[in-house]
Amino acid sequence: MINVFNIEKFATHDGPGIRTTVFLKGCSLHCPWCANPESWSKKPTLLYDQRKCVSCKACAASCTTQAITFDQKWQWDSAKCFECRQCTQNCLPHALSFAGETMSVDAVVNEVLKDKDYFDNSDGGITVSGGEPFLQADALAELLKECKCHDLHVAVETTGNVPLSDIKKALPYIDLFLYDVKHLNADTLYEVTGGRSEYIFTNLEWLAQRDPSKVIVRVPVIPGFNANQEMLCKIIDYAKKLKVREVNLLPYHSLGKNKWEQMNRDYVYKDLKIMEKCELSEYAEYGKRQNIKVKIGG
Amino acid sequence: MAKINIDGVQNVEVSIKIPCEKPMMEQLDIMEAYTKAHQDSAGLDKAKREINCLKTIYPALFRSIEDDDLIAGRLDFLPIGFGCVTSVGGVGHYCVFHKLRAFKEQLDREEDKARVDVLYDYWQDHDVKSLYCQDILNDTTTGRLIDCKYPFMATARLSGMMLNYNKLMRLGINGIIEECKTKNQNGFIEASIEAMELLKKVIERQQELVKEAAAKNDDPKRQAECQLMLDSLEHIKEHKPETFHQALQLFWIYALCAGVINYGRMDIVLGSFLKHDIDRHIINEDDAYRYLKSLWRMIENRRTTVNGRIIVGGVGRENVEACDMFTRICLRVCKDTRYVEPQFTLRFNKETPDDIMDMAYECIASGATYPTLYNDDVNVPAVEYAMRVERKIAEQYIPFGCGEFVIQGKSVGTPNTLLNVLKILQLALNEGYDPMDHILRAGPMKVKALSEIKSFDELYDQYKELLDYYFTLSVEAQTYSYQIMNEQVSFLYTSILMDDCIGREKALLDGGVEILGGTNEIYGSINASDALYAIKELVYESKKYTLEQLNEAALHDFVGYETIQRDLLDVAKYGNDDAGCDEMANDLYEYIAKGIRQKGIDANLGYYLIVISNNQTNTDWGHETDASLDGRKRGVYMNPANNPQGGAAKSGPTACLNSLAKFKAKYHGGSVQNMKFTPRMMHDDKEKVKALFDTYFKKGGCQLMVTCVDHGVLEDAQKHPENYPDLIVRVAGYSAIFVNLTPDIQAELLSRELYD
Repeated sequence: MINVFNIEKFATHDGPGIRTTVFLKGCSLHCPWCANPESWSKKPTLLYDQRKCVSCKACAASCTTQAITFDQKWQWDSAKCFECRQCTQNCLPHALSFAGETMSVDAVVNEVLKDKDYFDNSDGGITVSGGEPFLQADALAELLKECKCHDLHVAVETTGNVPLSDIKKALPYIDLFLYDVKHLNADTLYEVTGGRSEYIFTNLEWLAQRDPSKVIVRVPVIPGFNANQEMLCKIIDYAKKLKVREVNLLPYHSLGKNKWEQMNRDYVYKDLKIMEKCELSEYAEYGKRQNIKVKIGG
Repeated sequence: MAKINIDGVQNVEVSIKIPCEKPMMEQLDIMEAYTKAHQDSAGLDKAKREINCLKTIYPALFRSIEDDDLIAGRLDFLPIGFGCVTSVGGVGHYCVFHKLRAFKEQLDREEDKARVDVLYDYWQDHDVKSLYCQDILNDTTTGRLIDCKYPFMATARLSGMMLNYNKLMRLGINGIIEECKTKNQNGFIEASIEAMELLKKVIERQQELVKEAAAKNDDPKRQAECQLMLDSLEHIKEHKPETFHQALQLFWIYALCAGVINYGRMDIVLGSFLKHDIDRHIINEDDAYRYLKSLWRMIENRRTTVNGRIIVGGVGRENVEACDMFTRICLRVCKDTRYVEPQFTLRFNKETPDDIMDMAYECIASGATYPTLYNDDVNVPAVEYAMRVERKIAEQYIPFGCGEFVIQGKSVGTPNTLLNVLKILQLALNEGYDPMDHILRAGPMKVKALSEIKSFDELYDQYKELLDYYFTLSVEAQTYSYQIMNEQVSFLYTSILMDDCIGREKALLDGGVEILGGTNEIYGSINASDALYAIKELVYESKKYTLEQLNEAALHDFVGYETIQRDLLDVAKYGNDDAGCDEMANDLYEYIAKGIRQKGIDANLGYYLIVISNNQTNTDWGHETDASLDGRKRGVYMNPANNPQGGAAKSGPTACLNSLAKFKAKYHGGSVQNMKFTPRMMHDDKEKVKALFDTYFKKGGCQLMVTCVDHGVLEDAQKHPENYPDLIVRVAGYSAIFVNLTPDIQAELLSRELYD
């Protein structure tokens, strides 16, 4: 069994060709710009969409453990929740929904295989993303092994913030790593994201040494964090040194903003504008000069 | 007479027509002359009567040449006259009564109004469509087009005729006259000869009009253009065409006189003339581009809304190189003009050159909504089976109007019958009564109460019996439309260029046409199958509700039954690649498609096939259709064509296309698939979108039409229509300027998923 919170078909930003991206629950980082904050907890996360809510309070009334309270403001205490899902069933306007579902590996594979013709015709395949997929290393290995039985191209998007031994469990079935490099300063990285350099950089260097053609370095470009020439050029230089096949600079977007609101959490980037691709085009040029492919966008 | 309402709107009319340029009194004179010719010819052969009538409107109704026209031929039509279809005038000898009344209201003098009244009274008993409607319409099952209270609508029209223009090019006007002279001189053949002579008069009139245009503008460039038109007109009057321009000119004049509004495989007709001229440096590609741009404008100006098909590409073409040369220029014109008509259509297969496919993609990505893509690898074998014709004939299939197939120059396939299968499902759930107005609409059928129904199959069988009853009504109405039209008219110009009317010496519907087919437009089939699937799941699988409970909720439009509506909406819906509900959709589709097809075979029609290719009737008919058990509220639009209900496809374009590709094309006579993508996706993910389309076609997808529009643009266009005069969207079987659509149609378009 594997904890999944979304399966996205025709994902065009997560690797080559037409892909289906399977998003797994659980993450060991807590990046403040995260587009999928509902992925952090391993447990299902209840999302509350205030725009759809009609304040009927049927959710609170149906909650036998008082995990939901709704006096002035809707609130959910995950510690008290037993996931009976009465609240979502009683919410007529669909203002409540659970992110996270335990699925059998077969069920996931069957869903993914529905688009096999599209993968085959576009050199696409499956991408597993998260959260951090390697937090479910055993289930992930089982899933990817099954995908390989069906001859699918397999990509995994990872933070790298896991023990190498977990990565090794699924390693034989992975064709491509979409490997996040968010910052090169270990202290900043840890402070802002909780990422540990002894995992992230060690694992990346190990993978690159083993087969650099299977690694794409992905950099979420975040204003105020790493969106400066010095850091981005350094990351490109680092990737070049590792001889990985390309670097993707992912311009900051605010698509995760609603999810933060739906989790009753403050989103620190709420006033930040979406970054245009063209703002990063100089780095594509820089990459050319350094003889490494730098692509803007996934 | 007039036991039926003859006064309603007859057709989907989105585009705003260009008014007749003649003064009102002259228009009235022409209508009176037409009516007099009809009266005076009462005892004559119908073909003779037709030509006598035609002489009163041709060439009289041709209007002035516009300043930038490079081809001569603009034709007005009046509330009374002759035609094939309601988009330009009416059917056979026609009177469009509500337009005649509007005409009368514009007159000042009482004596002139009285003249109109005389015409109105006469045509009540002679308008071909009214004659048909008097006999076929009733108060319960069968309504006129468009009266959406009924589950079934029927009409008499001759839509989608696409003529054998190759014959015209090969023989010229005189060649056709010579051929006619070798035949037995019956009424039809004699009238055909007169029709071709009349065509010469039309050409002479064009020469006068071109001279008038030339006199207005002494610019040397315009003078040269006018001279070109004059030369071509002079040539084609007595000779078969030799140059591209002559061929274009002859084709256009003929199509106007025939009253046809779909044109067909123009690359086959004109490609070899184009190549001939280019090879000999008579013209260059830019000249050809200008001529075709002019043709595009002429077609746009006819404003035939859901028609104007020009089709290029595909198998079954002899001079492929010349045809592709023509195709490439058309693609350039299409991208630059961005008109809603012509409905530019590309047939393709595995052999289609990459550069043509690329140009087509760029054209779509630019927001033109064209070309519409038809997959020959699927459609040719499908047509072979569906119409029971040889492959060589199937290769000449073409979609007209909103996507119905005909064989160019060989078949009649007009959609004179339309079924709302969702309404029929509601009859099955309500003892034959329509919950919308409580009228019993089941004819003689006995429909069991829900309390007597013990299983899903029993319900489904009851529905199928009602469908069968409506299939029978449909085929009878379809064949009767041919009988009535044939009693009244010969459709001379159409007959002359349809195989093998001249050879058989018979008019089109008199045994002349080789394949007398027909089509039935199907609406609401996905709402119906989603409703059936929801019933299956909630009543017979999970047993959460009884059938009566569900129906009760729908009868109350779900007011006070919101939980039931939510549960109905939460059941899997077609368009998400869900095996269970897609199987239900396919089962219902095959039942309807095979049922109609068999009715056609039994009635000795060449073919009678369903088409799932709606225009905006899914919205109009939805207004008159009660709440349904797929969770749809009363009066809401129904699903477009065989696409999911708006808002139901939530799993991305691959899932949607997978659902669509499950229907086997060989059982229908045309279906359309609409998708909306953002310009960002069309450009940034170009290769992936191309692979998406390509895979869908390889999986058996027969057709695809794409609207390329950005987030928020349609919403903004609703608020500020003045800023979006040329925003083209794909409605279903046709494209339209978004701001010309009514708010309800706009809402239906907005409800569809936009992929980004």
